[in-house]
This record gives sequence, C-alpha cells and structure tokens, in this order.
Amino acid sequence: MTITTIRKRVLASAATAVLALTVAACGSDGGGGATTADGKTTLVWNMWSGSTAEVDAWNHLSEMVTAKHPDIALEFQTSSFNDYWTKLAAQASGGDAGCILGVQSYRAPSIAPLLVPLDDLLAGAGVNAADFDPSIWKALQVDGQQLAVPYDFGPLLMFYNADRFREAGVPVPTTDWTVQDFLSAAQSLTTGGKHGFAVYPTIDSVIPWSLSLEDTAPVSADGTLDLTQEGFVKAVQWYADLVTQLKVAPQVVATNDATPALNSFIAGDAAMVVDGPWQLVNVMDQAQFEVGVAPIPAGDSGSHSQVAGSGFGISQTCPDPDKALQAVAVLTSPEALQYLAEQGRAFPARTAQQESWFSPKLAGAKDGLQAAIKNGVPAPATENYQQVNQLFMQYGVEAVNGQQSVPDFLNTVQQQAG
Amino acid sequence: MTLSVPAPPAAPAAAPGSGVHRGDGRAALGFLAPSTSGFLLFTLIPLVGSLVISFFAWPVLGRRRFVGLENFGDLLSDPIFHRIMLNTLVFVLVYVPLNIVVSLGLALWISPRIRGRGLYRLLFFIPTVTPMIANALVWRLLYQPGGAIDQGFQSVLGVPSPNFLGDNRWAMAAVILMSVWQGFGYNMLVFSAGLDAIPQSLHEAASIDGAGPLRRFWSVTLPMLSPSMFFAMIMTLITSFQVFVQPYALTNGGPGVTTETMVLNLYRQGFQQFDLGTASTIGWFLFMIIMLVTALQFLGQKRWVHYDD
Repeated sequence: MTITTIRKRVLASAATAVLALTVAACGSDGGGGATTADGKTTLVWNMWSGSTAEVDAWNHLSEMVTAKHPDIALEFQTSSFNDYWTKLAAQASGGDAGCILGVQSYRAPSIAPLLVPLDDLLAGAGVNAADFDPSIWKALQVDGQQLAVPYDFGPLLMFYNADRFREAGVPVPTTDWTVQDFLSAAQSLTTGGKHGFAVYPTIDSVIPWSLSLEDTAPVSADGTLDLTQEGFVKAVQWYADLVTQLKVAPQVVATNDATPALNSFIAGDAAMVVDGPWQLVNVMDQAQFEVGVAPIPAGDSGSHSQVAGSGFGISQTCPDPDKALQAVAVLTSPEALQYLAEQGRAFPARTAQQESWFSPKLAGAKDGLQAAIKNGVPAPATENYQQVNQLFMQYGVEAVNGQQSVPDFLNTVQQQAG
Repeated sequence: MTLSVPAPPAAPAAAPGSGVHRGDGRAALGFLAPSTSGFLLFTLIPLVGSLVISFFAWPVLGRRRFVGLENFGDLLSDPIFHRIMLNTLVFVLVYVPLNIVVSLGLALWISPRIRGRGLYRLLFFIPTVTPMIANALVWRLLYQPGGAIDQGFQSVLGVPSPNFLGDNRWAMAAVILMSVWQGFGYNMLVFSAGLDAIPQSLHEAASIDGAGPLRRFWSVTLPMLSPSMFFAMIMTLITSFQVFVQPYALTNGGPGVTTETMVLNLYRQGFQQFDLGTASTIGWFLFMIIMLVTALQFLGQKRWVHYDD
C-alpha cells in the first residue's frame, strides 16, 4: 500500500466521520427518551416558561420526580409560550417530540394527535379526577378523551391599580361590581395622558365580555367557530368602543409583544387590565404600585369568564409511556402543586392545594379569584385555535382603532379560520 | 522555499494516454467532501425536499396527500396572498432605492479625507451589526402612541402623531424607515471602498478638462462606481425580497396584513398554521421571483456597469 493510498483512505474516512457526526447530531434525542445501561431512564420534558424563576421551579419539580423514582430522570427543554408551539410542531414533524409535553387547554385540540389518551391509565398511576377542579379537568379532554393531567387553571380577572383608584377618589372594584361601575371608574381614571383601561384585541380577552354582556361564546361546545353571531359582534363592538367612542383605553399597535395591554398596566399607563392569575406574581414583582384583583364586572348576563389552564400529557412517540406516566403523576402530585402554589406560580388545579396559593403575598387576590372561579365556564377551542387567535389579533388592531368596522373584521377572521 | 520547487514537467509527457492521473478523481473528491457534504446536507437536499413538499398537502400532524399543483393554484387565486406579494413588492421598490441613495450619499459625504472619517464609518455601521430584534424594540418605543415621536408632535405641533404601528396607512412606511436605518451601513461600506478605489488622477484629469463637481460625479464617479453599485443592488434586492425580521419584530405583519411579507407569510403558514405544503410553495414562488429579477439584472448590467479593465 503506497503512502498516497493510505493518505486517501485517511482522508476519505475522515470525511465519512464528519458526515456521520453531522447526521448523528441531527438525529440525537430521537423519540424523546433513552435508557442507559444502569437501568436509568431519561425522558425529555418539553414545557414553556417565561422567566428564569419559572425554569427554576420546573427544575425543582423534575428533581421531585427523580427523588420519588430514582430510575427516572427528566431532561427539561423549554422555550417561550409562543415559540413552544412552533418548536413542538417542528419536532413532531421530525418524529422527535419530547416524552412529556406541556399542554394548554386552548391548544389541546390542535395537538391531540400527538398525545396518548390517558383515561385507562390514570387509575393505575394513582391520579384521581375527583381531586381536581372539574372545569380544567374537562378542558384538557378532546373528543371525550383525557389528554393531559392539569396542574394549573384560572379564569380571566380584572387587575387594577389600587393606588390610582385611591388618588382619584374612585371606589375600588368589589366582587359584585357591574359594567356600569367599570365604565364610570374607567372614565374617571382617564386623565392627564393616562387611561382607565387597556385593551388588546385577543380573542381570549374579548370572551369574558361576550359571556358577561351577551351570554355568547364564539366557539360552541362541539368546537365550531362562530364569530359573526349577533351577540358576539355586539360584544366586540362594545370592546372597540372603549377605544374609539369612550376613549377610556389607548389605541393599540400591531406588535409581536405577547401582552401589550398588561405591559401598559404594569408601566402605570392604564389603571385596569384583564389577564389571568398565572400573570399575577410577575405583575406584582414588576409593578410599582398596589395591584388589586376583581372578577370581570357583571353585565346583563352576570360576571363570567372562560377557564383556561394547562397540564402535562405524554407523546405518542415516547418509548417508555409507563415511566412517563409515573413522572406526570409526580409533576401533578399534591406536593408538586403545593410547591408551585407557594411560589405563587400556578393556581393549583387540585382543589385541596388552592389555599396555599393565596398566602401571604397574593392574599389580596383571594376574594376576587374565588368569585371568578365560582362563575367560570369551560372554554371550548377549535382545532386551529392558534390560527384563530393569530388572525383575530392581527385584524383586530384595525377594528379596535376604528379603521375597519367590527362586523367586517369578524367576517374576515371567520372566513379565513372558520 | 518556492525557489527549490522544480518546475512541473509538461503534463502530456508525464502520462501519455490518460490526461489526468487515475487516482486524482478520488483525491479531488476527498478535498471536495467537506464543502460538498455541507452543500448537499444543508442546501441541495432541503431545496429538493421543499420542492417535493410543495406538491403535497403536508400538515405537520396527520396524513400527507399528493395534490399536484393545487398549492400553487390556491396561492395564485388567494386575494390575501396577492396583497402579501404586493406588500413585498412595495417594500422592495421603496426600500432598495432609498437604501442605495442614503448609503451612497453618506459614502460620498465621508469620502473626502474629512476629519474623523473612521469614526463616522463606525457610527454608520453600528445599526447593521446590532441585533435587529433590539433595534425593533427601540423603534417601537419611538413609534408607539405616547412614544418619543408622539411626544415630539404633541409639544411642537400640539396634535398627536399618527399611530404609526396601528394605522394601516403608516405601518409599512414605519417598517421601511426602520429597515433603511438598519440596512444602509453595509452598502455604505461597499460604496466607500469603491470610491476610495477610483484613481485620483481621473478626477484631476476631468478637472483640468474643465468639468465641474456635478459633471465629475456623473461622468467619472458614477461609472467608476457602477460595479460596486451593481453588487450592492443585487444583494440588497435579494435580501429585501426575503425581508422577515423587520415586520416580524415591529408589527408582526399587522395591522391586518398591511405589513405581512412573503417570508413572514411563509413562516406563519409553516410554523403557526402547520401547513408545510403551502409554506414550501411560497418558498418556491419567492425563489422563482428572485431568480428572475436577478437574471434580469445580470442581463441589464451591460448597459450601465463599466468594468475598468
């Protein structure tokens, strides 16, 4: 063998090695789990998170899993809430989504084909539906099949800037306040470049108003979208009028900021905003004023909000679904939810653990949140809810700013997403 | 070192009968392997893959179905996609000339040996190297109601400024303005280097012949700069057809679809609506448009690009 041949061989094998490495790098993590020689199973856990404090909380839960089951280790992979769904879709198309997946109630129908139905397995894992709030337990079902075990939930609430109310001498919202009270407060608080309320045209933030004012929901119980029904059009018109007619809320901008209304509330520019209890601990940390919590003001049909929440499911591609179920049982166990509640992170889906969420930091939210939970209604979603949500927000900006009529706006979205 | 290397023998004499050495092909393959494998893996295979996908109804989850040219037909008959193509075209037609004018203007301004020239170059180049997302955040603060521009309007004119990011008449202008600010630095450097390469003697000769500054600009500077301009134009055109980050970060394509461009639409179709077939089709539309425009430019270059050789 001549030297040149050897050199060529070496070169060729080096090239092959480089190629093989690249291919291997692309193909790693396939299936979302692996078992090593010592019998220890590593499962990939995909979940969204919004801050390092949240990541720490999830990592703590993952340690709880390993403490309970020393043969299971979770590999936590995370991205922001919006990116999570994009990433999940990309991974699923390559057949390597994680083993344990975070599932939000609105998005459950769209990722249903990815998930293992849990109905027959839960009893064996010691998970009992009766321990959970029934509305969120049901919200994680698609076509009657339980796809995830919930860890948190909540209705939408009204957050208010208690300092602004006191300074202006406006009575703070109570648990039985009405839309009239809301409007007069919003008008009194709209002075000196600041506004009483902040809106952003997401379908989720409009639904409480359509439920409370007109007793209508845009998605029927069987998951069909009807944005152009009379009651919903009226409610959206009322919502847009807050900006265009009453001018108690500022004009909105097209943006990829996920929560512009909440940010304007935190900055002190708007005295009230509608959002979920999962935001409360972040809001309290960031806001330079006292944050109060009230239910949605009562309209002609009472005070109602849809209830949304999240849980954990198991992917179809998981190589070891039994171990994944054991892990999910720990992640949604009373101890885990107690821990999350004490951090103020997630309002527990288990009824017995809910008390610990309120104390002591969020104690002020207790009356408002409990009243809102009492009147919460399940929130059906369509299979393409992500798209509905996106289109609603995109075209809603023009409607809320008065550049397009509300019926035209709803027609457009209905046609594209219906 | 080089002197000790003997002159290579004449090729035909060395290996009569076989023009190249037998093993050369394999050796060449070995040398080409790294770049070829990269090209195959990351360019050619995905390219062919996306062409295949564009003939399918290809949801991320669920069954894939061959649909032939249906994706192409659907897009061509979709009024929203027409609007999106128009948006992209408007962006290109406004952005590219603005970018060229601004970058050429600034390059001319700093081309004489003015004091602090390096500093100006650096300053003008900073927007290009700062992350676009961060820029978009700052521009959002300027544009939004109650932001810096609005406050300026209120105090000087006493009226609020237009709601740049919420008004469908202003949003595209707002996106283009930010893009020009973000993008001119690169072309400015190209032009600046091109200007420096023009021999001073040409200007001097023209002056002696009695040409004024304007005449010298038209008849000496511009023709000598035309290769740089051709390069800048091609690159800017291609990247502006592919514009994504600016509308994504600033307006997310809204309000409505007034700032939604083709690549942003591609992203939405593929990764928000999980319809990879349509997304790939949009990708191929864009590919064909860019190919066509670039080919036209290469054909047209004979008329106005002067290579000094």
